[in-house]
Order: sequence, then structure tokens, then C-alpha cells
Amino acid sequence: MTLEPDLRAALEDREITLAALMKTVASAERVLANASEIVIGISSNATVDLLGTYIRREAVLAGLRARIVMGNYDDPIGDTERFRAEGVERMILLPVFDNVIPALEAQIPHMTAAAIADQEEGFRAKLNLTLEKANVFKSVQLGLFHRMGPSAAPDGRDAVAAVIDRFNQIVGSVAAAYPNVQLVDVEAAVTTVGRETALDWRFFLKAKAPYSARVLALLAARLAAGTRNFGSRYLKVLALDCDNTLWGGVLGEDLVEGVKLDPYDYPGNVYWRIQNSILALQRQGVLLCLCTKNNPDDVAEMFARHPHMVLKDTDLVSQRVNWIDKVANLTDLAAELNVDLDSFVFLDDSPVEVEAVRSRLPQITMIQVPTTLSDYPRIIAEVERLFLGAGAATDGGAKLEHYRARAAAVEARSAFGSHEDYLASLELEASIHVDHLSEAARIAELSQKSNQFNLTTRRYTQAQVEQWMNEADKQVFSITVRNRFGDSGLTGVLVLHYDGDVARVDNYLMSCRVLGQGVEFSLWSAVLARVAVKGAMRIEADFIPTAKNAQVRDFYDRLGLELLNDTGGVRRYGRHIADFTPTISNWVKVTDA
Amino acid sequence: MLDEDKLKQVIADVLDVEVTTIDADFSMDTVEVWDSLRHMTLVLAIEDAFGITIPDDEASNITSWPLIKIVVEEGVAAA
Repeated sequence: MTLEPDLRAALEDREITLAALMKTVASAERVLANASEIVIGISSNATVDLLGTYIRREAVLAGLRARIVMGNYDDPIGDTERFRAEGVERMILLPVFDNVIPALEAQIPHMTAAAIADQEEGFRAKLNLTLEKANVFKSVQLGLFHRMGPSAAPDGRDAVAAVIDRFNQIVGSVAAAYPNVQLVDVEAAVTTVGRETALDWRFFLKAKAPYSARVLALLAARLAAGTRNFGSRYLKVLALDCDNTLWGGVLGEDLVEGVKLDPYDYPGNVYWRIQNSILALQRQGVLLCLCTKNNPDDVAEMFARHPHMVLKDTDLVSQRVNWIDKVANLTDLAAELNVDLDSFVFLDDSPVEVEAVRSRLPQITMIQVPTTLSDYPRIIAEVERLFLGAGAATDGGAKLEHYRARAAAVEARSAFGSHEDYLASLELEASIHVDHLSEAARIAELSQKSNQFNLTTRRYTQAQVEQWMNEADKQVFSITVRNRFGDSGLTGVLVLHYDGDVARVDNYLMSCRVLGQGVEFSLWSAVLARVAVKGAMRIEADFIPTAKNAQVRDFYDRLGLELLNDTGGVRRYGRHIADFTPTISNWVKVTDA
Repeated sequence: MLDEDKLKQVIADVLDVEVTTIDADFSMDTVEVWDSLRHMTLVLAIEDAFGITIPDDEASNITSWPLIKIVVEEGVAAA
């Protein structure tokens, strides 16, 4: 059930091509068929499906299989409910700023302060409800906002920067009320890759997919570290080699006076910086010990006498300074500290030692000091991430801030009591048109594109739609939705075919843009009124299953139609109009134009 | 010169099909898992594997093996 070294190496290869990675992850998952499965839900207002592949990579590297449940487009509140039903344990929530409303970054410079404030409040309310519902998950990793394009202002402080700051403050203050929420710095992944390659405008404009594969790969690693590899492991101990790890040179040969370690000059400054980072880890609760082949007296002298040693004897919980092999020493340390070997990280510069430990104690996380010394700080940053991933900062000051913010957020939360109150605050309006020829093109387009909320997946051409609009025994309804933040445009289509006294729904479909707002129930009363005028007595409708439309499998049940039969998943519904009162959404105002 | 086997392998890996099924009839209409999302991944994977950038308007049009081959061939020649 462990991965072959070749397979593991391929998974660890950060330069692997996307196609090869997809294949490798799939084979690793087959190897780990009996390993435990974790279920992760990803919710976003953008298309980030590829992130799932990279999360699966991180999971198999941690010896787990991840099942990814993708949320609907921009429906975090609905997603939390679906995720719960799907058995999701951990949620990733990745809102993209520019897509909070279309092209937000381009809109901000000409928006009024009131309109921006409105957006902020809407966002705060939605986030609050999402996180409240997401309280059941072990973790919710919430991405912080970043901008798509660089600022044109020389100092970078334009209106967009200011608004993003405010949105991020909202994220921070709302999240503080929920202990299972961890904020994730998405911008860090974007800037590490470089904004030019991190963001892919082609796919953002065409398919709302802003992130390149490279960013998603980095982000997945960050997310995995943030949950300490999905809760599979808790790292506690950092074991340290000495020569060329804590200082430059070999103590036995260069002596205390000759090794490289000082705040100013290269290469001593690299080691000095590293020691500072390691000390910071110790202060945050990481246990430090030495595991090194040196003369014990030399090391003791170095710690006691070298003027620039940042780490002191007293920072170490234990030491193995001897000439015995490191595998034995590490095993011994684990026994002494009474922790499992898999909670160890071992930092060493020697490829031979690294290989020995890696092959004989694979549960230990081995980190090799890079041969290019200037890479060392970056490697230590990785180590910090491994240890502190899951952590709120443990220092007192930050904690106090955290509690303060939390108290404030609990107060703010009372703004909306329920999901319904929130939806009511959106001031949703749906207007219904029948047989509007000017809308035929958009209706046809929506019928071609919509997959999830599509009851029969019958696709229409513009000519077909236009023809039906002119025929007496057909009716084509369209639904246009707006809320107080703006217009969602034509987002729903319902096609009726009349046959004697039966009105048959040929298809009913909605754009995923408005899902989760109850609009799907809003128009039926108006439709039934029209049907009655036409003299029909009965309404009938089918659900035809496809790979994508499972979420509307029971839509007609929820609407209040009667299931007549179910043949191989094709469900036929019907009801007499006289005794049919469809489910409605009180919070949507409907106008029948 | 386009390495056709390599291209087929990339497509097979992304769409999770056997390489041998990729022929002239292989298209978005005949392969069930090949939806618009998977298509995006496929374009990225091809670009990644061949170190090319597929032009904007062509990216959404290469929905069959013959079309993919033509566009990648052009891309490789221009690189």
C-alpha cells in the first residue's frame, strides 16, 4: 500500500507535465485503493476544477486518496449543503475578487462609494451565512482576495487596492468568529509564479477560469500543508544536523573560529538567517534536537562560545552528537521524546545521510539543505509551512487580536438571521417574457450551454426557437433576473408544447449564475396562469438524467408535481392544474411582462 | 516535426481513454468525458507538454483529433 519510489518521485516532481501528472495521480490512487479516503469540497465563483487534480496529488503523497466534490458556480451557501450531503470533511472556498460581480476591478474606479459599500455588505452577509453553515466541516480554507491586473498607479495604491484591502478585512473579521476557518494567501501563490504566468486571461474571459496550472499546483501544496496533510500527520520535532546546516564549514576542521556564521557577510549570513528562522519555530512550539556526527565537545563549545550562535543549548530538547548512524539516533530520539517518527522533520546537508534516512525511515520528512546556498531560505520557508500550516499564530499578541475580532464578528453575524433573510436582502426580481423573438438567440445559446440545471437537456437552435414562438401550440418562456447589485440577464428558459388539454414541458433550464437563490421556483405560478388561459387542464414534465444534471433529479418533486413513472431514470411527472399549487420563493418578486 | 504518439498520449492521459481509441473519428461528440471543462484542461496539458501556446480562437475549436493535430503541428513548427 505504499507507493513505489518511481511513482513517488514522479508525484513529487514539480515540473511534471499536466497530462503525466493526471495519469500518475490516477495510478497512485489505484495503489492506495485501500487507504483512507478524505472528501474535499471546492467552492468558488470561478472555474477552478483543475485544483482538484493537484489536491489529489498532495493527498496521495500523504498516503491518502482525496475525493473531490466540486461546488456549483458562485453558490457557496448551497454548496455547503450539497457538500454535507456528499460527506465532505474539508471545504476549500476560493472567491475571486474580479468576479464578485463581473469585471469588478474594471468597475471600481467609476463606482460610487455607496455602490461599493453595498457590495461589501452583500459580500459580508453571504460569507457569514456560508461560514455559519460550513461550521460542520473539520476545516474551511478560505482564500484571501487579490487583484488580477497590476495597478497603473505608481505607488500601487489605487481604488482597487483599497477596496481589496477592505474586502480582505471583511474576510478576516467574519472568519474570526469561526474557529474551523483558515485564511489562505492566494496572492502568495500568484506572485511566486509571477502574475503574468499565474493568471490566464484567455480562460478567465472564456470560461471564468483565472488560474494557470502552476498556481493551482502551488495553491494545492499550500492548502495541503495548511491542514497538515489533511490531518494525516502532526509534525512536532525538527532534528538538525550541524556542519553546513547550522553553520558553514566543518567544525572538526575549521574550528569555532573558522566556521561561517555571522549577520553580515556571505555565506555566514545565510546560516545566521536560518538559525533565526529555526529559533522562531522553537518559540512557536516546535521541539528542536540535534542529530549530528561531530565530537560532542566541539559542538558544546560552538554553542557556548561562538558570538553569533542564535540557537542556544537551552533551545534544544535533546541531542545526539556522536558517530553512530543517524537512523539509530533518530529512532532513539523518538523513543526518548515519546513521539512517533512520522512527526519528525530532519534537516541535513549530506545526500548520503538523507538517502539513508529516507530509505530506512520513510515516515520521517527529510529535508536536504540545498546545494545552492541561496535556495536555503526558501527551503526553510517550506519547513515553516510544514510545521505551522494548520496554525493560528501562537504568540500572545496575535491571539488577543484574534479574540477581539472574533467578538466583533459574532455581533455582525446577527445582521441576517437566516438564509432566507439574506436572500430577501438581495431584492431579487424575476421578470417573465413569453415568445419574445428578440430573445431567441440568447435562449438557444443558453439551451446549448446549460448542463447542471437542465431537466431534459434538449438543445435548441435559434431557428427552432423562433419557429415555436410563432406557433400557437408552443410557448417559449424566458426569465430575466436582477437583484439590487445588478442584472443577471436572461437566465432561465421554459418551453411548453400543448397537446389537447395537456401542457407538456419540453424543457426547463436555468443558468448556474442564479442557482441557490430560489429563482427556479418563482415563475411557475405565472406559467400556470398562462397555461390556464390556453385552456389546458394538465401539466406534464420529464426529467431525463445525464452525467451533469443530478442536482435537479428531484426538482419536480420539490415543485409539487406527482411522479407518474420512472423508467431507467427517466422520470415522468404530471398534475391537474386545478389542484396544483407550486412551491414558491416568497423573496422573489415576479413580474409577468 | 510533430510527435504524434506523444500528442496521443497526452490526450489519452487527460481524457482517461486508451491511446488506440484516438483516430479520425475521435471528437468531443464521441467521447463522453470530454466536456468544456475537460477541454480546457486538455488545451493546458497540450501547451504544457509541447511548450507552445495555442491561439485564443483555435483553443476552443480543436474539438477532434484531426483538428488538434493540425493546430499543434502549426504550433510546433512555429516554436
